[in-house]
Parts: sequence; structure tokens; C-alpha cells
Amino acid sequence: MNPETFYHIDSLIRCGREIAADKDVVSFDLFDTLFIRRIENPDIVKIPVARFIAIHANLLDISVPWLHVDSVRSKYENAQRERNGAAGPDHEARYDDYMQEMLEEIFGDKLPEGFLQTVADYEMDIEKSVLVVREPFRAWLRELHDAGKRVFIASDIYLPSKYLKELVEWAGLSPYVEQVISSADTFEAKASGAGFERMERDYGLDKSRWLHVGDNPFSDGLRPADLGITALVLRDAREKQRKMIARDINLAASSKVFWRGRNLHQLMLPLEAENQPRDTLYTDGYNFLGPVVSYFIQRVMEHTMHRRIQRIYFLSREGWMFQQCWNRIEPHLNPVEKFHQTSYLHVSRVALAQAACAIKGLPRHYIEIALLPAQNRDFRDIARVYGLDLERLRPWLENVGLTEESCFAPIFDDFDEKDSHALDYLLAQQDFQDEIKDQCADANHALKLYLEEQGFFDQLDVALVDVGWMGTIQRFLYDAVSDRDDRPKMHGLLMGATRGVPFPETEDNKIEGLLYDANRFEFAPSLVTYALDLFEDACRAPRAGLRGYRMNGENYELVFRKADDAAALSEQAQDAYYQPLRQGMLDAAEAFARANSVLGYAGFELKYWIDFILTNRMAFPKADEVARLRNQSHLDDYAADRKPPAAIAKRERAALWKKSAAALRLLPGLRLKYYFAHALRMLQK
Amino acid sequence: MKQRKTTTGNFQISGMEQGRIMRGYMRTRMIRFGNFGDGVGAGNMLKLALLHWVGYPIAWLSLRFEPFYIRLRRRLARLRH
Repeated sequence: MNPETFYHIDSLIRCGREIAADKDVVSFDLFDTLFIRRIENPDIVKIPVARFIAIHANLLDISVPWLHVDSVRSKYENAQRERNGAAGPDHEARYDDYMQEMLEEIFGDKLPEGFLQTVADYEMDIEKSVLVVREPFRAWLRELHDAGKRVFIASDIYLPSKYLKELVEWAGLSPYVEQVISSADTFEAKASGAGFERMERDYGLDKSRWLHVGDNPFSDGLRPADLGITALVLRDAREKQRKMIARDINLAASSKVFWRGRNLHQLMLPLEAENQPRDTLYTDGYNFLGPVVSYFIQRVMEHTMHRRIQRIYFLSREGWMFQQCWNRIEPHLNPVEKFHQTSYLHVSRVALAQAACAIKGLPRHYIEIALLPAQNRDFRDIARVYGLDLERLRPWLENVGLTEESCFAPIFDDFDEKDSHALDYLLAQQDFQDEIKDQCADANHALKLYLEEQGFFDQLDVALVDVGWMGTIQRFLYDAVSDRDDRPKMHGLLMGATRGVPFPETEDNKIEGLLYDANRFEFAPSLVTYALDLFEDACRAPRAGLRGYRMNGENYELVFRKADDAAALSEQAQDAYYQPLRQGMLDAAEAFARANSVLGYAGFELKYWIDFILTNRMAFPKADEVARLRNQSHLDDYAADRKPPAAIAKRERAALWKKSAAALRLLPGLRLKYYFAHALRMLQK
Repeated sequence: MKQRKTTTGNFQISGMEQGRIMRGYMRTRMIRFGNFGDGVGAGNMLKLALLHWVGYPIAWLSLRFEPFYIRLRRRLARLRH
């Protein structure tokens, strides 16, 4: 009897259904049949396990590179295969045996008790991250089980059946399967036929009433067919194409660093049942913003590990997305020791600006920061930004000949330099500054109580993770606690540092852009500036922003924005619109971590692919992508509710991401024009 | 919003398909401002494009004629001896 070969899973299952109607027993091969691997070479999973063992060994002062661990593993595995090949029909090995021998050689008398199980659990986790169950087979298995057939899974592999059962259980196949059999249990494999004969004996199977399905033409085809078992072999061409692509990208990645990010992205791709119909915004989150944010989080992790900064605060509201991604990424990329402590810190520019004024008063550079948005022009805006009581300040303004409507922003037509000089004179008056400090003291006290509760002052170094852009939040936070001697060193880790206003860096207060930093000449990352709002709105927490801190008796209170005014409602509408995008980003973070736990790429190795994504998606986006991703409304507490001067508004409207879909679709060379203009600006800096 | 089963096809990154990667690659050769202008490898790019676009018939043919190929290799090996 010859095995029948199929080149597509559906045709195999169609034929298998007909044959199985006359059979009592159906057995399946496991790997590359019921399960497919995301990676082309199954041995790749051994590398993260070797790294895991090497890190543990280093923690016990045993200096051993992971390559050595891997070679010792191969040595013992091959030795056992040779021994078993000499004694029996198959060259089989058992994971528990050779791994124990390997660990004993590496750790000697320092081998921790039960460490083999720890390693095995980790290897199972890695296996799970690369395995996907084939959906049509799952459905067929259910059918067979419901029809009362006896279903077996048989695999020639070094993993004993207890591990295979764990994988089968994890994949949700165990309810349909009577037994999972591994060649590692008996050293009798399908390859020699001994495995089938043993199954026949142990489970009382009748070969003439038995159908076997697998992918190997020899051990799943010819061998069972020789024994009188009906055999179907799956040689899936579509699967082969996928693996050829995966293999080629992996090969390219080993020589060209650009392809490493592409390789990781390939491993992130959903396969089989994971690939569901999704909103196109979800796809954008999964393939564009998700990898970019995940890369940033990996850089944060590496940066803080390198500088031994244990405490990380994710600053609201963009920090919400960063923390969610961190929670998904960190356990996979740092499986050995739990080093970091993370918290979400409720802050905002407006809330911290007020608290900072209690210590610093109202210096001139605070006025400049308040007037940065093109909509802000007068003292009403300054008072709003810093939470000042305008009524109480009016006498001081009148004393120097100013009104609340005097314009201080040079971009407006009614700007008068005399008003600016009068403001300087006012700022120089100590009693005015004391009034400012007095007005803001309550907010400062409440902020410090909040920070104390968050353990902020218990640290020597803290990392403050935020989306960007000028480090204003950190500047105000530092100023607000600058009177405390126990303040920690603040390391601001921003996704993008545009540095529109120079940041006053000191030894204990620094910022650094990890994706983009204006202090470094990096052209591709600078393309995030095409649409900064996109990153802000995509990462923003779907809840109201913080307005300020205030005391309520002896306790502090966080004051949030109203959730029912027009601005809040439009923000909620934006949140609802971006919900699939954010879900895609979160799922991408999980997939990113899973893929990189296998590949083990460092952040710098992924940079080139991230640059490429940014160039393609920010500078050369499709018209539909811009229409889809462009935010509908962007709430900025900092900016006044008034129109900016016409020239500024025109300049803002002229940005590529503000162009109409028709312009993006029809104007030839539009993107190139912007690309060159951006390059020119960068080169002029 | 349109629902499509292309979170990412099974091996095409949706929104970053091979064609777009090729265009992006050509752009990087043309405009050397990016940080990825070098070290991509036109050979890798073309080979992957080939596998994406006509990989299925190649895979099918290689599987379909695998037994023939193996027999041929054995025969050639025997002849060499």
C-alpha cells in the first residue's frame, strides 16, 4: 500500500474524511502537521534556552557564554542518540536525560534544586510562542472525536510525552485526543516503524482500521503504509512558501542588520486562526504603531538596565499605553530576574505648572513656555496655564499699565514691545512673585503628598517615561520638588525629544529621546515630527486628563478634567475611533515580545527596520492611511480656545498629514517635495 | 471601517507589502538621508520579492517533483561511484 500525498490541507482533509469513515483509529503527527512553527528552523528555540541558562549561570558566578551552553546540549543529545541507535532501532534522545547531564556539567555542585524543571518550563514557553495549531485540523479532530473515533497523536521528538501533552492541552486539542505518544518515552520511533508497532500493542489497535496523517513522506508515509496502515502525507505548498520566505528573511537577517527588524516582524504575523478579519485601524496599530512603540519600550528597558535604574514612572496620559506595552513585553524579554518596579504617575503640564510656580514663582521662561502654542497671547492664557487667580493679580497688572488682554506673543498683530517690557518689570517684583507662590502652594503640597505616596522620594534614580516632546512635564516636576533634598535623579526617557525649547539639563535632571532626539542627527526618526499628534492621541489613556492637585483637609486630591464638556466629548469620540488602533498596538506588543524572546535582538538591531517603517508610513503614506490615521480632534489644555494668527494657521494646514485625500492621491511628487523640504530643514539645523 | 482578513496575510505585512518595501528600498538608494541607505542588499530584496510573488508555484513544483529529484540525486551519486 502506498501513502497518498496532498499539496493542500483542504484536499487532504476532504480525502481523509472519506477514508476515516471506515476506520476506528486516526493518528496524527504533531509538529508540522497539527502544529506549524512560525520559524523555519526548529533549532532556533534552543538559542533563547541557552541564553536563559547562561544568565542563570552568570548569576551564580559561573561565567559561561550561551554558545557554549548550546554546544554542550548538542554534545549530550548526540551522545544519547548514538547510544540509543546502537541499542535499538532508532536514534532517539530524551530531553530530561541529556539536559540534566548538560546542567550538571555547566553548574557542577552549584546546580539549583529543580532547575531542570525551570529550564523545561521556559523551553515550553518558547515553544508555545512559535507554535500555532492548524485550524482545519483542529476542526477535523473535533469531528473525528464526535464521530467516536479513537484519536492519537504520535511524534518523533526529544520531548517526552508529558511536554507534548502540555502543548496539546495549551492548544485546546486534548479533549479530542485519547493519547499523546512520544518517541522520547520508549526510544521507538515512527521512522523505523517500531513506534507504530508499539502503539498497536499498547492500545490494541487494528492496522487495517487505522489512518495515519503526517508530513514526513518516510516516517508518516512509507513506514505506516509498509505496516498496512492507511497513510496520508501533507506536503503543503502554501506552508512551504511561507517557510521559504521565513528562511530567506532569517538568512538575510544574519548578514544584514536591516533585515533583523523585518525578521522579527515576520515572526509577529498572525497565522491560521489568529488571522481574523479586523478593522483596518487595528492593522495599522498592529503593523505600524505597535512595533514602533514596542521598540521604544525595549529601548527603555535596555536603557534602565544599563544605568541600573529600578524605578520607572510612566507619565500620564501617553504613559498608559507605554505601561500596557511594558507589562506585555518585559516578562518575555527579561525572564530571569525581576529588576524593575513600575508605576503610572498622574501628571499633566497644567497640573505640574501650577505646582512648580509655588517654588519658582513666575520666571520669564515660564511665560515663554505658556505662549508657545500659537493660540496663546495674553495674561489670561498665562493665568490659565499656571492655574492662577486672575482677579487677585489684576491690581499688579494695572500697576504696571497692563490689562489681562495685553498681548505678549510677537506672532499676533497687536503685540506691543512696551507690554513685554512692562511684564518683565512686573515679574521682577518680589511681592508679585510671592503672591504667585502663595496661590500655588496648595497644589505643590498636594503634589508632594501624592509623590510621597508613590514612593518617589524613596529612590535615588527614577526613569520618567513619556511620549515627548520638549520635556515640559519633567521640567515642571523637577521645579516643583526642587526644594526637597531627597528628590531623586530624574532620567527622562522620551519617545521623541523635539526640544522646541532648550531643556535645562543638570546632573540630576536629564531627558533623552530614545526613538528620536533633536540633539542627534537621525533623519528617519525625525519623520515622527510629520504628525506628532498621531503618536500622542494613539498612546493616550482613554480617560480624562489631570487638571491639578489640591488639598482636601489633610489629604491630597487629584482633580481631573470634566468629562461632559464639548472638548471632553470630542476627545471621547476620538478615543472610541482609535480603540481598534490601540487594541492592535497592544496585541502587537505581545507578539513583538514573543518574537523577540526567540530571536533575542537588541534595540539597536531593530532600529533600521523601525526607521524604514517610519519613512514609509510617515513620509510616504498612502492617501487612505493618512485619512484613516489622522486624528479627528486633539485636546490641548495648554492652548487657548481661539484661532491662531492666519499665517501660522496656514503653515499648520500646509503639513503633509493635513493635506486632503484628493491632494495626496492626485498631486505627483507631493511626498517627495515634503521629504526634501524636511531633509533641507534637518541639514540646516 | 472595512473588516479585512489581512491583519497581515499569512506572510505579507499588510500596509508594508513587498512592493512597498521595494519602492522604499529604491527611495533609500535615491535619497541617502535615511539611516538605512546601505546594508539592505538588493539581492535579498529581489529574492524575497520573487518568493512573495511567485513563491507558491515554486514551492508546489519543488514538492511535487521532490521524489523525482531525490531519485535523480541517488542515481547521480551511484554513477559517480
